[in-house]
Amino acid sequence: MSYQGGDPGVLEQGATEIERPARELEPMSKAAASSGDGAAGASGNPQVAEALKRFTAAWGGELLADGVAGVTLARAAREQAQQLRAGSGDRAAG
Amino acid sequence: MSQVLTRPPGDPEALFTAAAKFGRLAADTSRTKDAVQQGVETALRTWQSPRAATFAQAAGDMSKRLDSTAHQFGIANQVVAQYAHALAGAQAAIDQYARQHAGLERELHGVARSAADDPGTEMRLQRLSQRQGQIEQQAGAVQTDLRTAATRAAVALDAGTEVRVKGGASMSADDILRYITAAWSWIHPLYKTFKDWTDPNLGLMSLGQGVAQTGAALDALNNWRAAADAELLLRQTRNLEEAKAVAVATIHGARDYRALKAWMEAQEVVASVADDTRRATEAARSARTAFLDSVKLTSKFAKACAVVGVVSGAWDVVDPPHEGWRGAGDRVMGGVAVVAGGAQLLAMAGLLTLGPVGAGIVAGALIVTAAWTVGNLIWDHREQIGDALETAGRWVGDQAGKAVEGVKNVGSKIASGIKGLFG
Repeated sequence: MSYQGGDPGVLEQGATEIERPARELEPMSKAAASSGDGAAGASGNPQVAEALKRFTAAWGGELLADGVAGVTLARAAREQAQQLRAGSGDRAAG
Repeated sequence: MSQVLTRPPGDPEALFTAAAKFGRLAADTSRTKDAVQQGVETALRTWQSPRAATFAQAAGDMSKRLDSTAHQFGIANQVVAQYAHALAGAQAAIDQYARQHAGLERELHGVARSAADDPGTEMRLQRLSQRQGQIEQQAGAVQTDLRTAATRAAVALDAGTEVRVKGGASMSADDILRYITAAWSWIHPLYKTFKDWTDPNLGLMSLGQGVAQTGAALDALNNWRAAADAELLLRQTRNLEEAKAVAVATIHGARDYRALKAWMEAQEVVASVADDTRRATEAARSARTAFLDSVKLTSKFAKACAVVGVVSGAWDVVDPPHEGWRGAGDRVMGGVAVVAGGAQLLAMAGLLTLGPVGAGIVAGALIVTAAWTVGNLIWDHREQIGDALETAGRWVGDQAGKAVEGVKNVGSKIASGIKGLFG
């Protein structure tokens, strides 16, 4: 079963600890894109410029993906905490 | 003036600045990985359920990817800085050669004008001309060295791209975006393999078909010209089969998911290695029995729990906040959010304002997050997800062309495409 055990408070804390840095990946991927742009424009060489664009497209996207993954992990931990609270409420009511 | 004496274009200072930014990104990515890892350890301190194992696996994968990303940014830092040094050196050398060449040119004109009847004039002119030729040769060597440095830099960066997108080094940045966008459509037909899993035996049959698909993907990998696509398909198929196994275990409340996993592994051997079929079949039969033995009769309770956590995500699937293609996008992203186990729905709505490029990138990004929680959620929302993915197949297909068409500057498109993602 998905929601069988855990401390909701600890799970919430974990979710917060995950989410904060995960959200920082968004501006970091922007920084990667701007670094790539800056370097491509300054290289003066079409071969280097194209390679930089490819590199940024690939790894900027990777950072973005991990930002989404991190936020999703935090969400999952939070949902687990909520389910545990709901479950303990049901047992108390029962 | 000779072409070789033309100053090579480029701005070394701007390159040094960009290299430094890549260096900071490498450090920041490592720091972020450590911080996320700490949060994951906190969350797992007391968490006890099969989902915790999946969570840990997904977090571990993310951690590895961030390590890899940090490593690549470190490489970009070095590569760009080295090229900046090479460019700065080449520009300084060419400037110096150009000055020397111009000085000799002036001297040549002076000698030619001043003493036409001097017997030593011709010899002086020859010497000056030879010196000019030597300077041009040296400048040519500098230009060649710079081109070599550029090729090395491009090759090093392409090696990094190759890690992320197999075959990416020969693709344009636009093609990489197209690839990421199109990758989503691979998932669509795979979801069609879901069957009615009310009965554990039917669930196992469904998984068996999926495992056969994995075998087919493996064949494709070996035989298909587009090996990169086949590899992606294989990876996605395996992820989804793993996720479906979790779904079967969750829905039926299996006490021990390992038995099911063993069954899947044995099935994979059956599907791919003919020589070991008998041994693998016996192992599969035994693992299957172990799984069925582990299934609890009270599985309905597990299903009820799974519903509660994803109601909000399912709601956006059936009632998207936008009309037209954006509404279709809402259904896609709502469906993805359900599949991804509750990815931020507000963020999904936000990203849809970004246009096809951003949406395409994020659709690709979500593939990463989609597989690990699909098992817990797919069953209770199979109808809505089926509809959403029908829409997704068409929508992404339409948008792939637009995404590439719309790209003028990939870097800035990514920068703007991610705006608002985190809502």
